[in-house]
Amino acid sequence: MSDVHASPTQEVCSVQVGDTLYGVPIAHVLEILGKPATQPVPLAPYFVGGLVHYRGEVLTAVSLRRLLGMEPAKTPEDVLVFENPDGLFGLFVDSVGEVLHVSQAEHEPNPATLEPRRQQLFAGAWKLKDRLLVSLEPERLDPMRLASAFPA
Amino acid sequence: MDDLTREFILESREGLDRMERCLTDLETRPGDTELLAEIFRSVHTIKGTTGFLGFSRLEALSHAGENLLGLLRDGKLAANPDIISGLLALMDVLRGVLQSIETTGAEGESQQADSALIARLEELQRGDASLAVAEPVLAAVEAAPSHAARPRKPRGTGKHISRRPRGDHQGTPPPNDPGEAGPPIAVEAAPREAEPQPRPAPAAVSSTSARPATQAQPEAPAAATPGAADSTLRVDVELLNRMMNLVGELVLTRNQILQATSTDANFALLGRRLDMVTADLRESVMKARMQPVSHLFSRFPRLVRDLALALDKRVHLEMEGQETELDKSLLEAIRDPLTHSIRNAIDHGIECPDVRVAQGKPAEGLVRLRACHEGSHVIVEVHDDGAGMSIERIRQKAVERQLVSPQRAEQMNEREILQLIFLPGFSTAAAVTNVSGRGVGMDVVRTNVEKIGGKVEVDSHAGKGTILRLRIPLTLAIIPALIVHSRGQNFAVPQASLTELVHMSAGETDNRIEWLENAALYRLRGRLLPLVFLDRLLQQPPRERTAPCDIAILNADGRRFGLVVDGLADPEEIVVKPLAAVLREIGYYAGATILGNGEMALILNPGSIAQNANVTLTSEADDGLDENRAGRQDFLLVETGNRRAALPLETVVRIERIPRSRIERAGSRPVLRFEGQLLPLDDAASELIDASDDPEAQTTVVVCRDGDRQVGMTVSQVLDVTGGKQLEQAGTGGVAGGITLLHERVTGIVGLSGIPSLECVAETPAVPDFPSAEETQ
Repeated sequence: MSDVHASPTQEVCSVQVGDTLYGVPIAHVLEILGKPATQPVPLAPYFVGGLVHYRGEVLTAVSLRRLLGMEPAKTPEDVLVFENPDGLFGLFVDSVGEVLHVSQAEHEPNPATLEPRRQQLFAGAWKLKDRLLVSLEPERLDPMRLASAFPA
Repeated sequence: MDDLTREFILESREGLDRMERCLTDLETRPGDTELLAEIFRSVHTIKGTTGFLGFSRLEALSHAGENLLGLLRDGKLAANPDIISGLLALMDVLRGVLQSIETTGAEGESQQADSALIARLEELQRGDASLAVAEPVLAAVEAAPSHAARPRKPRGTGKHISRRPRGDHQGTPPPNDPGEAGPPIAVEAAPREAEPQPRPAPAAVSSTSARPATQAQPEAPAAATPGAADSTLRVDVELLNRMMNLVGELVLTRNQILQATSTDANFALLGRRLDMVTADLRESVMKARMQPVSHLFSRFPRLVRDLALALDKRVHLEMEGQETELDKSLLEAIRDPLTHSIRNAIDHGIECPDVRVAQGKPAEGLVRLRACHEGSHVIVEVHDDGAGMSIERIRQKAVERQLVSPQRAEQMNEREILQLIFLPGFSTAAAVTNVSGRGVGMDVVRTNVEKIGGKVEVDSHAGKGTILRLRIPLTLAIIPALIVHSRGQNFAVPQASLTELVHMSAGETDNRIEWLENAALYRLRGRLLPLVFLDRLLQQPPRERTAPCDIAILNADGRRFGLVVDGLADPEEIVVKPLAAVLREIGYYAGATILGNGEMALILNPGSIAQNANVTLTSEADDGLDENRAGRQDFLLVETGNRRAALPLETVVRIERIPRSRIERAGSRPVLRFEGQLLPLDDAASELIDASDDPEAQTTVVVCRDGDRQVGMTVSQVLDVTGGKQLEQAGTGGVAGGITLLHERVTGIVGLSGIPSLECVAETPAVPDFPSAEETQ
């Protein structure tokens, strides 16, 4: 847990994709959908994982795996719901873990050696005790932005 | 913009709408104090609030209007066409300023025109005030100068500029010209009856209410009664949309609960209760989105008045069924198409008074606007008794514009010819409009109406007039659709573009789909229909060539093609959900939806599929599957033995190909088990008995609806779907029953009520088709 003397802390929702642990500031997460039914969209941009149903709306959900060029998931995935100026969208992740408190002091920017695409997607990382927690910012995952930043 | 201002704008707009309605009514009832009071209230409210909010321009304008209206209300002045025109001009300017406040937050600058208008209003009030209070006998003398600009008015510019923002007033004579006179009644009622008029009124419009038929109907029952304000409240449409979504969510949750609790009796009871409440809730929310069409219609008297004035025509507008309700978003969506249609009716339909009189018609043309419910649709009709369209001229023009080949044009019947006016190419040239009477942007009207799942029909008789019928679904959010499967995924096809379904069982596919190089074709009643494979179009894993499939025959904006899918599910009323922009860009999807079972489906956009698959515009399309038109009916033409017979298409539920072994007997009568029901079969010629030795043989059965029951009829072959003409019995002038003219041949219509006595014979047919006439299922 954060100690009082350290720099400001923040709550992040940890999610697992492949072997990497990612963290999304909890304030940005509208809701977590546990293994929802999804509907693939033929001809959609490669990073779109499919549609999910959320409170009467049909959301477009981005697949982090596809975005990172990974193999499709073997098991049903969880979805984080984010809000952007145009509306809501989802993010497919392998699984959602616990909420972690991370300190700003532990945060470091992306290393220069990181692959360019990941440079653009990741917002640095937090140094946890035993591993790294890669920071994700929802605004970088907005489908509209992805469509212009990473055309197929 | 702060809430107060927003509220003010909304309120003022409503007030101005009311004012508009009342003003046009005032033309025919100039002395109606209630109308005057209503108009006064609208302007007074605006003035009161603007002062408080600090909109000085609005305040000055409404103040001038209020003064004039005050005199009118108190009976010190009588309304006349000049005054009404002045007030209408004021209303337009007020609207413009409100618009400017809404978009820019400021009133905008236009002081010159403002002061001219204010001067004009003061003029009206002064001139006639003196006249009305003074002896009416002198009015004639005094009135004329009073209409001219008075130089001693400090703010007057000397010339009155009728500054109206809309373009359709250009033909209006200057406002200080009494020749502009509105309806004759208004003039007569005014005290300056004897006033010498420089020239006779060129056009007179009694926009509404001259005839008792329309008058009986108050224009906006809710809005017009002040008391209604206490029991209603204004709700943001966004909020309603959100409620609609949540109700949708609730419906799905309910479905899941019902499934999960079906075993427990207690829960089942609770589940049923939940079911009922949910259904009620859904209905209420949908109802909350409904508005009477009077909201839309109320603007038309003004439009008609101005157009008629500008065109020197006399037009009477009748409106019916104003209480008919329609989803708010749909009302918005048909605003333009309807305005366009009315413009057309007056511009091209209604003739000039002298022409009309020469033809033995009343000098005053009639435009009738009618709204009514018909099933799950609302019909809005624009009917004029004008010149109508000449079939021959349309035919000529269509050939000239190369929209159809001359040969084809010769073969087309009247109804098919009329459909040509909706082709895009038909509308572009101005020359066409004065020929056909219609045509300016009719394709736009059709496109706009089809966009919301509606349809446009036209019926016209040269010399008698034209009826344009818009068929609008009740709500935009919910459309009927057929759910189809392709490679394990659901897709929704809007019923509006679906005309027919053809099923192919395993093995048949290879034979019955023909190939011309890479183009797949299907022979539909002798005509080649291009096919689009949904799995290939969407780059899904391809299916086996011989797998069974269904062909959904679609008509998208005149493009006809067959969409090949793996299978069909039930038709469903679906709630359309918008897609994210990145998915909209794909083009093939019009949205997404959540089905009753909780699964999602993408809604296909037949228009863009046709376009992308290069299906050409079949300008010569046999639109034979469109709805009935007056005096016409569509029939399913079948062959029974060696006779031809016609079945009214709206009674046809399905056409099934059935193994004879499934036909059983109840007593001496053949019956068929069909979707869990017993269907009496017609088999008068007893051929079923002879052929029943071979249980493998198949029979085509047309399943029809006859009142509440369904009946089956065996046929040898389905020939066509075609429109039939009514035949008159020679000498009687009555319509001959039981027969119709199909393909220029007299054909008997099957009387379904007498099914057991029908003379129809069954043979093994060559073609099993599955047309489900839209909406019959």
